[in-house]
Amino acid sequence: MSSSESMRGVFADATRAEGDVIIEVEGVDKYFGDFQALKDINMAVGRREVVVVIGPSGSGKSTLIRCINRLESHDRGRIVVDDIELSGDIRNIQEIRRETGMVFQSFNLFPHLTVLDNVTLAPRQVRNMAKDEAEQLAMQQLTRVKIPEQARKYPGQLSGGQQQRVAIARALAMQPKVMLFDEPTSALDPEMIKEVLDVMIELAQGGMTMIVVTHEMGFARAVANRVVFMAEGEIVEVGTPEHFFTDPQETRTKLFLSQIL
Amino acid sequence: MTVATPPPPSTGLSGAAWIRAKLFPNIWSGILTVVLVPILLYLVYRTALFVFVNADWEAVERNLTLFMQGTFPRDQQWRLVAQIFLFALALGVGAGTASATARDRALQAGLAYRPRTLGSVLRRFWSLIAFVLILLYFASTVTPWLVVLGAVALAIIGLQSYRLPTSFRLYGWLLMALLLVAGFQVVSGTTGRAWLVMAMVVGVGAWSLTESSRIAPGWGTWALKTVAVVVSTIVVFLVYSVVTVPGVGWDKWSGLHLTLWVSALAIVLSFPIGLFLALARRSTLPALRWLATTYIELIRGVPLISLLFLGQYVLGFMLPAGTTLSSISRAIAAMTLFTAAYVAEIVRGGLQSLPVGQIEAGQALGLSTPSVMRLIVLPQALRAVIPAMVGQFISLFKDSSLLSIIAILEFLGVRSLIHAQPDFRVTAHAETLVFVAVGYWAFAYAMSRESQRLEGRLRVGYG
Repeated sequence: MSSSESMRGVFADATRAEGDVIIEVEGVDKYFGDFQALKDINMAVGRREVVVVIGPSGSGKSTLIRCINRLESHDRGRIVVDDIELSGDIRNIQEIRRETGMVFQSFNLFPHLTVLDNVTLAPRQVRNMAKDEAEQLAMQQLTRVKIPEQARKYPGQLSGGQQQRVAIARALAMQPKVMLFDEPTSALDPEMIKEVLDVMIELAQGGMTMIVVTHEMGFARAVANRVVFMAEGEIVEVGTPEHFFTDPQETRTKLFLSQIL
Repeated sequence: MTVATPPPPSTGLSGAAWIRAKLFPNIWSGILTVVLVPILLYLVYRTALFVFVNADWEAVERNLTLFMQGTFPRDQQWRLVAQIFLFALALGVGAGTASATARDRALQAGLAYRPRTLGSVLRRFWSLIAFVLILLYFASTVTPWLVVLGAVALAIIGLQSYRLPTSFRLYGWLLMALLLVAGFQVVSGTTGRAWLVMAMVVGVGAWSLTESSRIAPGWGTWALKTVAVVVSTIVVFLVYSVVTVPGVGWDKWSGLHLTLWVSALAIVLSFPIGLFLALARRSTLPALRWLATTYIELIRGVPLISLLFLGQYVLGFMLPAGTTLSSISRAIAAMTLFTAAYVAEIVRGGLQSLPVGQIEAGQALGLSTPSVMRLIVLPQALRAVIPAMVGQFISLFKDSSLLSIIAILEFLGVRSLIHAQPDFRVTAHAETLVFVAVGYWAFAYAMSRESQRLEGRLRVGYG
């Protein structure tokens, strides 16, 4: 883990990552009607970096990562993912979505397909993979999230934790360069949170670039290179986990941390 | 090692206890029971009195053939028998393949699978079986018995497709489709544009058979599939231009035979049109959306009978000169266009009921909008609307009786022939009406039962 150690140094206390940047967000504003959900967001994420975004509900965390794969469109500023700038062009959007995997709070597995079909769907449809090849790849990913034996079942037969791990495998099967997690454990029963976090920790240690919106501070402490604190649509504070949890600078950060820790 | 657990406490009630718990739980329910049960018994008594004592079923008995096939040429009757046999075989093959597919899926997913038993089939189709038994009771010759026995035997032979290994499922479906087309064309003949129908089935077959799990999709596969479809279409065309079977076109069909065909064709044709209209109404292209909305709202605001009349008298002016359409084709067109508008609204409801997260999950995976629609939205939306859709098809089936008003002799319409006979000019009107009503009910009820079953089956794995 020497590379991740060195990166921690590079990115500490910086909203702009230096060197090998994979995601760049510059001056992004986002409105829902009159309500401004994102205010002048600037951040950069380096390759193999794990960024954890925390903040009170309604602070724009989810909106931010949904803008990165264009599930929401931003109204001002620039978002660049792997040298592709997001625009309204549909081909450009699909190119970015192919490179970014997303895991949702409510899993959003396709209930009418088996686990295996959930995972092979995108490789076959988007990457034009042959069925056998896609199934082989899917089994690899299901093994990675430790549920290869559930491949022929339907999502409705699985527990919440298992469903979320299938959702991670489904995103990984597209071999994305970036993984976005939108509160992946918030809809889970407490005893299932750990199995999902374990998979995510392994993923982070394997060198995946990840942006994780979560309330799991233990996860942030364990694997985050940087923690971003957002409130009211703004980035309030950015720092390494040690710095962030032990010596927060802003009053709003201190208040938030005092409420949840 | 499983530990023996005590069985769950029995919830069944003995006779007297059941009566007390269900019929007389309190004073008001008791009074209701005392009032309603005699009324119910009286109604049953009056019905039985009519059916078994007062009614004279001679009109039905003597005109059974007329009810079934109407004015279909009697010397061509063998075609109808052949159609019944081919359809029975197709039904058997289809049912066998379907339940084998369901079994494979259930076993793979680790779900319980209960194989079909004779009892379950009788329970599912008892209304149709009862109707066939009524027909056999009225039959005066041995022919109907032979037809029914032959059909049952062929269906049982077809059911053996259940035993075929998994890799033969596609062939099962193709065989069923071929038998259905053959069954249609043994009556209608193979001249004119009949080759198109067969070419479609064979083309779909050629398309599916060139699918391989080892080859990645790409231009090569597309080219191969296209060649397969084109070649099979040419082969079908050549075969049909050499071998011709003359037949009886549908402008000469009538009776229950016509009712079933008109309904089946209108159902099959209205579904894709309705689906297209539903998608068009949600389209982002304003012109398409307005067109679909206008069509749907116009059609839904007009009674079916007026559309049928329009089809008979006005459609001719709108078609290019020289086009001739039989009145039955016009009626099928009117019923299809009418039902398509309702199907569109039902499908639209299903599309709206889908959680937005499903679409987002598809988009986040990089699927294109048409792929999201085809692979994620529609399969779930259509499942959700099966009951409403079957309800619409049941009313279409019953509404086909309106054709009798525009002088088409379908199941209800043949009554006019029967009551033109000197013997039944004034008598037996009630008997023929009751018979026709029972016939409609038998089919409609079977459709409704099947839709309930399908609804349950497709929920597999939904938790």
